[in-house]
Amino acid sequence: MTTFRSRIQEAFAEGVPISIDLGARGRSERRAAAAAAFPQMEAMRDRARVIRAGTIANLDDYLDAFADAAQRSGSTVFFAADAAEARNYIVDLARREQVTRAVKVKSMVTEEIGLNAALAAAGVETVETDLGEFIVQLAGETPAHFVAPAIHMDRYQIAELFVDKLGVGYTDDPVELTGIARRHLRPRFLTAEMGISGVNFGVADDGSIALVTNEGNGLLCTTVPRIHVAVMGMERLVPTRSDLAVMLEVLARSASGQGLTSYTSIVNGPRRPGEPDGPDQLHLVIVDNGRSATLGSTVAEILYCIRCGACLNVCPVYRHLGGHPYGSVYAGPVGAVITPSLYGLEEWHDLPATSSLCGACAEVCPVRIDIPSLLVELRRQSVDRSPPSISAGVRLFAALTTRPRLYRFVTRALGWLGRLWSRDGWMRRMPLVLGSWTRDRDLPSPAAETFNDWWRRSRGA
Amino acid sequence: MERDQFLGRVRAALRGTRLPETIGPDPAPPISFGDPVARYVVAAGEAGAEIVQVEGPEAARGEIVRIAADEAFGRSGQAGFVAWDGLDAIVPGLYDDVAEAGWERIEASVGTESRLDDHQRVANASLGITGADVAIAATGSVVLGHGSGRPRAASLLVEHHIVLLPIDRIVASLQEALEITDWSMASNWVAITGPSRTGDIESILTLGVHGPRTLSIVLIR
Repeated sequence: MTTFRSRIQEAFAEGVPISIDLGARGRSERRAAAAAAFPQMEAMRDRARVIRAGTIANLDDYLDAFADAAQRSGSTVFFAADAAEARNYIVDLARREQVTRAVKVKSMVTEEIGLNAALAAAGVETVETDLGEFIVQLAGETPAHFVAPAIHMDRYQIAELFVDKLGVGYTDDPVELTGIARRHLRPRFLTAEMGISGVNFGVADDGSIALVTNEGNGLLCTTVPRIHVAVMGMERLVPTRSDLAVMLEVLARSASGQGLTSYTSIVNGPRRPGEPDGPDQLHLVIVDNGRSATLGSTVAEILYCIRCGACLNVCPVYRHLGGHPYGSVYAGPVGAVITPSLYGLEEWHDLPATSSLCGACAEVCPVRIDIPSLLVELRRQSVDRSPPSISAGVRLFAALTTRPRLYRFVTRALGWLGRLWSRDGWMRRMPLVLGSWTRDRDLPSPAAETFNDWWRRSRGA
Repeated sequence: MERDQFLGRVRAALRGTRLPETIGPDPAPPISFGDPVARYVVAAGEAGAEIVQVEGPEAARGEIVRIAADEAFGRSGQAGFVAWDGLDAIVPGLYDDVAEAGWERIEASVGTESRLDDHQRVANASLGITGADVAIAATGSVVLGHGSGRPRAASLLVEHHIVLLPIDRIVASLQEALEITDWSMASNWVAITGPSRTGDIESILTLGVHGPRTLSIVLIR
């Protein structure tokens, strides 16, 4: 597997598109404006956190109640232990129902379980209908952001892509490009047998699900096809409708700076007798896929996340990299916690290590997840498991700092060596293991006097 | 995986955690406005909806006919509309007047067997007329419960969506809207806030993606 470092270097070599920084910045400014215009914002965030915390702490009971209620309203509920079980259930359903075409609402959990590839292998054409996700699918890429999947592409690239893949004339006008996508997708909506969505929130006490989109594709995917499949990460519950209202208030403002997302649907089972339209079947697929392991871990708080993307927008690391170098569908500060906790710290320990811990993410998180602390916790765990060379280094440092005379001698000696090594006040290339630091940056030459010496001298003065 | 087995794993995981136990009793912060109607008009406008305020059903009828006639103007063929049943209880004579403005009402029911054909037919409608169960002053939203005689297509597949909104349906907040709504009435509810939109291309706001390009709200005092 590639490392985070190698993926970052690759991204830098290609050039990270400026549209990522601009898009993320714009989104964070809209969030800030919406929060400032809503006097209840901070109290609403407090309440949202309490709701999420209480739900996660009693998730077993809420899941049980949710499944019962959903079945009562006519939905079929399937519990998937992992990605493969979820994929197989949906692929089997598509085969059984002779589905040839599915339309999809953008959803992180369906990306996580790799649903599109599985459906394609089973001969089902799967069409993403969110404009950004549609663009990303045409380009053969993965989303670069939870909420704005095509944040890394500019209008000229999208224009070329449409010419190339859809055979239309060139236009780089966003309104016209949107019109092209609408005309391309409309007949696909009307002929798809299956609509696939994620779930923004499930309401435990009545079994309904809430789904938000700005484009209207959510309502289309859950209305026109005869089968609706809703895939839900098992943590995405709230106890009641009142709790749902709180979550929607903070979600829309945090994600896009809106008071409420343009289309906020609440779906309570398939269509009933006498209803003029709507799906005949609704299948709810509830996915664990590593979440129960996270629930039992020291970073369980990450399960409060409602996937608004606000922490990506303010993160200096995300703004410089975009989503793809993270190597997982979950990018940004929360991604650096979600990915290792779902897929294993062993393989993903470099994600939590790549953060300045500036805390901007925690400041905007609608449910006040203390993301920096979770990153530090994962770092601690990975150091505990790290190779002996690093722990030997840490032991050496500890031995040094607990022996004042030795410490003073060594820092003086290193300062002298460092100055000897410098040219024009900078150390550009360090020897041995230290070279990995100066590979990407220069180090200033050490001061002529150590801090200890300065302190002794100036305190005396 | 069986439900019991699945929940068993969750239960086992929870035993090992130190998460806070329950949701505290404090309610969410209340949202209220001195003049909810005035607030509604501002918020709906900000969300991109066109708001028309009228006094009484007669004036409402006039406005709807005007909007329908404007929309029909210059349109070659395909002047079909879908509408909820029972709107003539709010605005008497509504359907006939819209028909007179050059629109043909399209039956919106979709059969189980004839599903594909029915959807093709409904998709020909470019004007949709609906009521609203409740409206939210804070955000300028209309909340629609779909069900018998209330096709989803009317607010979704069309280019222009007109909502008839009697003024007494306006409440302050989403919280209130969700609490007073009888959810058991329908399998599908939607809160609509302005026309369909996207910012997916360079964050540039574009209206009318998959849903209606124009949302007109006729506010009846």
